Amino acid sequence: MIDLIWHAEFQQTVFRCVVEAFSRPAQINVLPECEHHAAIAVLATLVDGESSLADPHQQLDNTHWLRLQVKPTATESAAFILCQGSRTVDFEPNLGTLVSPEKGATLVIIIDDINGGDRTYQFSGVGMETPVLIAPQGLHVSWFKQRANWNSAFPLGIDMLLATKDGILALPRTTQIKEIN
Amino acid sequence: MSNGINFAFLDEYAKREIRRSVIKAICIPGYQVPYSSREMPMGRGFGTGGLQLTLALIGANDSLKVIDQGSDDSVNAVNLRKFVEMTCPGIDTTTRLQEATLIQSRHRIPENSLRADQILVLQVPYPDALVIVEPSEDKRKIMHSEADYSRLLVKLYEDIVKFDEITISHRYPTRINGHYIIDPSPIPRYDVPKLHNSNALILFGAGREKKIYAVPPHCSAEPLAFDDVPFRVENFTDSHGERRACKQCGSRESFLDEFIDEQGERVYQCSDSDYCEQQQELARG
Repeated sequence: MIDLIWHAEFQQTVFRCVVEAFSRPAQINVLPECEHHAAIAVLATLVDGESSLADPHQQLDNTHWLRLQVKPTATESAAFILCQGSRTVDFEPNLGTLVSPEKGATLVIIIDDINGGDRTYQFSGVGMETPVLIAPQGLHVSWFKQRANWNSAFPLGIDMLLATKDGILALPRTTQIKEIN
Repeated sequence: MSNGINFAFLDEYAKREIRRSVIKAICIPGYQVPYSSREMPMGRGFGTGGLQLTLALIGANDSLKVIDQGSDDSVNAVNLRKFVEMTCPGIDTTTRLQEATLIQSRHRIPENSLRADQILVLQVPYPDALVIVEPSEDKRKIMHSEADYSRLLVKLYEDIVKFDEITISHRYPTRINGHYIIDPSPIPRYDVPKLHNSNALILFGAGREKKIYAVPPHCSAEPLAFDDVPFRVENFTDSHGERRACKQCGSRESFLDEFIDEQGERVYQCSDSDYCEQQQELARG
């Protein structure tokens, strides 16, 4: 029996969660129940052989790669990058080009929890009526610092999706992040 | 599947590609994301771009409303709705805006405001607002990336010089999130302000031109204008200075279509048929 996340019907419901997440950044979206980590469910929904995926922190096993039908790609050129949030940033993603900003990578970052972390951040921008405060747990401080560099010249940049075991929170390149003391 | 067709007609690879494009379209508001628009069993120009978006989004819990120029009953709307019903067993279709989770529309944004849990898909014939001033797509892409819209502003200025008025009636160029200017599809000017700070996500699909773009919720959308020539919408006041009313429901707030009736008289009626019917229901009590 194939796991739920590889079924088209399940992927459609995950996709709608991802659309909701990117439309309303900083909002926590709980994925429908499945046996896999939310990050894997999102990749199963969006990635296939026509796309490209990098796994710099070795989060995927061989079965995942076979099911995704995609070959590992270098982080510099991958459309999707699966990252472990507790590690420091140790790569440069593709930021796209001025005429093709959609080539900027999507980073799916595994974290412990959306809230309960040491540092609190304020998010504002497109999709948010009022600023939102979030304190991600298991996200190394270097991620948002690097993100600010990567996204400094709109429309170039990367889009982030923070994933806990069963929930996702998206930070498209339009979201402004400020650390609150 | 018993009839040998995948749910929602498109194969899963096609859906995934559209889905990836939709995500990037939301992340870069107003930017036209290219995608490999699939051949659909209807002519390009009949809403295949909007249809592909709808099919990539729709699932068993959705209730779909399809509108063509405000009406649920015109040929384009009926055929698209029938096609989705045929290829997506288990979904619901409706004509009532309040019951819909997914709304595909051609040339209108519904009269009543959308909710946060609804998604509006607009069918787009010409996605690029710059096409009237620059024929080369390569050059247009550079102009968009630099937010260089001076030639478009000159076109509007020339209109004012010649006609004392910006003469664009529909497809009014609109700046999204302070950067990209979009062609908001052939919606009337009256609908353009509804793009600004919308509750719902608005997606645009151009099948023939192979582009997907988006106006995310709570995003700024400013129609191009000048400080001394502000943007204005259609005027429905009569010669006595009174706002015309719909002949069916009597509403003085809706966007009106003009008809010539059998007696040769000019009459006005709501363009949004669902809104008009609901107003009449309210009046009947």
